[in-house]
Amino acid sequence: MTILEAAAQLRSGTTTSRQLTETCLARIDLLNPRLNAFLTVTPDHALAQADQADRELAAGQSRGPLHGIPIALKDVFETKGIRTTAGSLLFKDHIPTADSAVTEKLAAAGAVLLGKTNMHELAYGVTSSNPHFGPVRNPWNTDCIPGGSSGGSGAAVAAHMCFMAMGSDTGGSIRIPAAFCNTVGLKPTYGRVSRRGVLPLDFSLDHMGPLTRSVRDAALCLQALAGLDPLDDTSSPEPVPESDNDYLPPAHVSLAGVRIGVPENYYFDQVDPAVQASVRRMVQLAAGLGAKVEVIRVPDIPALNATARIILLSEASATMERFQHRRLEIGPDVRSLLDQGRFLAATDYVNAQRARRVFRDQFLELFRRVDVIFTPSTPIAAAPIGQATVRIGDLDEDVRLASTRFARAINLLGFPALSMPCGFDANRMPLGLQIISAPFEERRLLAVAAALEDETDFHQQSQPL
Amino acid sequence: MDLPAEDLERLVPALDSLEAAFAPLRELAPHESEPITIYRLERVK
Repeated sequence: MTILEAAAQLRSGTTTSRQLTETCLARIDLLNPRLNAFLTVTPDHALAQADQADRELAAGQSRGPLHGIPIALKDVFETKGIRTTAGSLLFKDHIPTADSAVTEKLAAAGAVLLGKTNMHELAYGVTSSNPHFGPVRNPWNTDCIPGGSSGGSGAAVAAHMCFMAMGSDTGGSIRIPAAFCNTVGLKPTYGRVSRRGVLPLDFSLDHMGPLTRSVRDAALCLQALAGLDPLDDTSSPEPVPESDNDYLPPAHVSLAGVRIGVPENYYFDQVDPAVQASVRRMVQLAAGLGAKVEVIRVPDIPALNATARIILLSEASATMERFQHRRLEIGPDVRSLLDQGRFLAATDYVNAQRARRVFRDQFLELFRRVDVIFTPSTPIAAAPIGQATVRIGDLDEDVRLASTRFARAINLLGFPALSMPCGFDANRMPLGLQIISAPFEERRLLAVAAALEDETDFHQQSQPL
Repeated sequence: MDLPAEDLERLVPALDSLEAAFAPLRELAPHESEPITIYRLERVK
């Protein structure tokens, strides 16, 4: 069931928030020992919120489509009185005294918080094989990673433990688990969703967004999350679309006249053939629905990725510098990245932030010719847990670099991007289509994705557990 | 920097590879271009 469907049932009286919440809690009880998707479950808190939602809905006081819907938060979002670990021993006893902006907004929308999801340590990696709290397992194959760093959120949504889970995305950490777990993952424009109260990794690359089981659910969540936060320096004053013009795509979306760019360079090189075929089929589907497909050349993505990595390593090491005396409490992979950042030259960081302007302008120019760009979300499906390299064609590639190389550049740009289910590989592991648009064009991005989702059933498929 | 030798050795290939990738980009931005300090975006009109 999706949020849209559950919201309709709540309003028609065919279910209650308590029933939905108890069902999710039972699912967590049943599956979390196998998937390790949740670090903290808050049943008493959730049932109290559910009962309140039921009372309000019965009294005709609707707070919107998330009212009474059970959700989860990645364990980087601060929750007043509820432990927030960032998947790290450094924060294992951290009980925040205030909610994050996202926590506040979801509570105001009436969502029911089930708990906090497991993740890659400090949100700094893509496997979610957490050395302290144990690996998150992919519901499609529990021997495989769910992607990361929001791996618990991806697994929880895919396994129907909740209707939506929030993620954070610094180099693909929403879109990669979405692709690997067969969910939708939306990284909004930088500044669209407040970062206040989220344990920071990289202040200039971090984005917050939802993982859901449908595109329209992602739209409903963005509607609740978007908006100016005066307490976040990077929060944008750009107006949030409202009422008849809001983010939710209509029941029937036309792609007539929509200009879709398909890169002829980079994004289809060195890619698993199943990924290539699945994404090409989505391009054909869009063309069949009336979209105008244009072959484009994208700017130098490896250069963008290198620039993003300079910024990522520098900012993350600066952010975590205060924990240098506790570095041995950090797992070896994240510790190594933090060490790398301390060796980079300050001049490289400054020049990376200067180069960023150039790349942003190049991509803005590209979006004068097309409305959206289609690429694979990742060149591969989920790798087995513990596997360091993956073979693509004739080359062995580091799993971490392979998983992030189509996503990371978009964090540098700050443009919105979404991953949606688009097929399966030979092992029946999910694959993702990435759709990218110009800044603050989430409405169009979601409409294009909804049109494709309406014509396919990939998002409705799940693995029996 | 106080790092064990084996940790240091592990960093070198990753840093070398990143340095090599970034080297041609150091002069990509025009001379007068300033670094982005707080990243902000606006809708394209």
